[in-house]
Amino acid sequence: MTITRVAGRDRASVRDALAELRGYAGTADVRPTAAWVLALIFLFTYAALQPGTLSGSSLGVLAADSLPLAALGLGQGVVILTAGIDLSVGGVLALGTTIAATHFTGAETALAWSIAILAIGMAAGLINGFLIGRLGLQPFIVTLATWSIFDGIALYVLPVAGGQVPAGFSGWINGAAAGVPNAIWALVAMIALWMWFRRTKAARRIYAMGSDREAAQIAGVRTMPTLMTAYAISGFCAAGAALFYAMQTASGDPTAGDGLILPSVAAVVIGGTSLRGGQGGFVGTVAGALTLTLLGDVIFAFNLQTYWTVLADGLLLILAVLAGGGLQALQARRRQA
Amino acid sequence: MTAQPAPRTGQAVRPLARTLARNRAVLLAYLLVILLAIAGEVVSRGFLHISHIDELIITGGFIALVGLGQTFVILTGGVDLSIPWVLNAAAVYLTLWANGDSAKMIWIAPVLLIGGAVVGAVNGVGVAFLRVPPIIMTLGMSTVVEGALLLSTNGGSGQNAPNAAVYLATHRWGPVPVLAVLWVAVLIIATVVLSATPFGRRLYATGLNQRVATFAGVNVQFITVAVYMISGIAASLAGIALAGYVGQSYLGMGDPYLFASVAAVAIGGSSILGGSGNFIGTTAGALALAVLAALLPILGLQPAALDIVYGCVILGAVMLSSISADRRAG
Repeated sequence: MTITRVAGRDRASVRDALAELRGYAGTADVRPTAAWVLALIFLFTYAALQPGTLSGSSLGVLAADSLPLAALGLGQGVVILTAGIDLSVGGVLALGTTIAATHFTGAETALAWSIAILAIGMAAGLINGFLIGRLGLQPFIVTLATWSIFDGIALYVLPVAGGQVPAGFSGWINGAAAGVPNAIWALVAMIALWMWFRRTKAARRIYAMGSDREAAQIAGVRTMPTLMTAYAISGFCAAGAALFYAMQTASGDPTAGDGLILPSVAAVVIGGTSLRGGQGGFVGTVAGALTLTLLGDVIFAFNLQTYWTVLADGLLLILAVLAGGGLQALQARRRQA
Repeated sequence: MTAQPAPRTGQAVRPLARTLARNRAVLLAYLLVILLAIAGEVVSRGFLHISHIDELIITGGFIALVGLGQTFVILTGGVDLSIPWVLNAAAVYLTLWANGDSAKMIWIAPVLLIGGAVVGAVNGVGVAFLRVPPIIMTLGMSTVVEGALLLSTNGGSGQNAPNAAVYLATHRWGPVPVLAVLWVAVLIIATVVLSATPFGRRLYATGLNQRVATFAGVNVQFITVAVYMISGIAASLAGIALAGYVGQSYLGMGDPYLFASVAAVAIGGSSILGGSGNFIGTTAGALALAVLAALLPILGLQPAALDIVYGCVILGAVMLSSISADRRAG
């Protein structure tokens, strides 16, 4: 308590401490680059199997396919930066798609309910953040519980997959503006949003807390607001992912989220964000999301059963964690030498 | 709790009092079961009729089986998210391979239990040796098992559970379900293993503090691999029994058991951080969840409410235990 107050009075020292932590977190990391190389390898493999993949419209389809996962990964990544995990993104996504499929009737209701879905996602995240930050509960157990709760609410809204969203809403994802597919614009917008966010104080606090919670607390970073911000972003992004998902499938599914929780974590980890927190970012996560999407495409192009995708997702997550840990150890050794 | 020293004459009482105090959460869990059961009888006559109690015990038995593995894993400070698909795989393979022929259970059951143990061993090795966080390792393995199952069966499932599995899940010896006998046997074995063997002591030590346990000579890695193997075997066994209960297998039949297993452990008073708790508590948790699940339709609630109840129960239990832990520390 007293430490916080002393540090709070001395703003400059707080800034210095944060800058130092950021410097520590921001040391050159090969992992996001490795993720982009991996994504490109998959892209060119797919292009070799399916001619025409590199055309504008095909890339648009690829971007559209990866949008829900990229949006989930954006939020999941922010939470993982705090050394936490958000399993409830599956529940929020399921709830969002069921609301979209039952309440979107025209342009106006679609807009109003889209805003409502995003607000619900954010509120869900705030609840997670509060329970984790204020009561000091484990992130996985809190978000496991809220995942179950949101899944249940989604089942109330729409008991079985179905419903419908207006064609005008679902059609947006396949449209184009200024000759570039909307889905690619959406991906670029998310990256731009991340670039802006990364420079905010909130982001620096999140990085600081993830790399060393005690040091961050001593430097005056308050745990609860920081965690609430991170989980609120995750809930908001999961709701955004729900909208993308509803656009793509033109319907809702109360079980849609369960199969996307692992890929959301995998995209982040493949993208080079450390599960220990404090290291990584969304630029790598986009590569992770593209890699996982292309993996499904490549498996399809090889005429393999789609079930291989499920198996490969799980293996890729575990391998990415191992490879990430290995690369980190290697870098640390090189830095010491 | 230890505000005044016990008088010298009451020394014999002290261990019992201390046990009761330490296991207050477990007692509360049993109290919850009794209250819920009475509530059930109040809103619906016949809720506590012996045949319905049997039904409650059987549905609770599946939760208790998956809860057994989850208890062992959580006691070491881990968590097993791969339970649903290990259970599902066991159920699907049992029905496909046996196709109603009970004689084939002689080799199928051991193969499935070993399969569960192998999945658990991979989880354990990933967590203990490769240092992958338990959530990630078991989430990944869950998907790997799901993918392998779908590939090997081409997304199919079996319609015909063998009679031996049906017997295990639904038969009654007099008024006593076979599954209840199995449950009690598991309860006794688990309790003895946890409280009266070196393995149990080392398991708690691992959950309390891995580094200290290592210094004290505990083979933390062996313990970790062992608990995930126990969890895999228990999930397989639950899959066999559940296939017998339903009479067939289907994809997704394991899904509710992830939340249920964690909820049973949490209600039972085990610390989600590891190091404290036992299977006696999880048994109460499984009973409480079974009674709750039976109460919901009586109260006119949809099955969807069960998910919400599981979530709220997990949150409530971990919040309660964190508050009481704070009080003890403060």
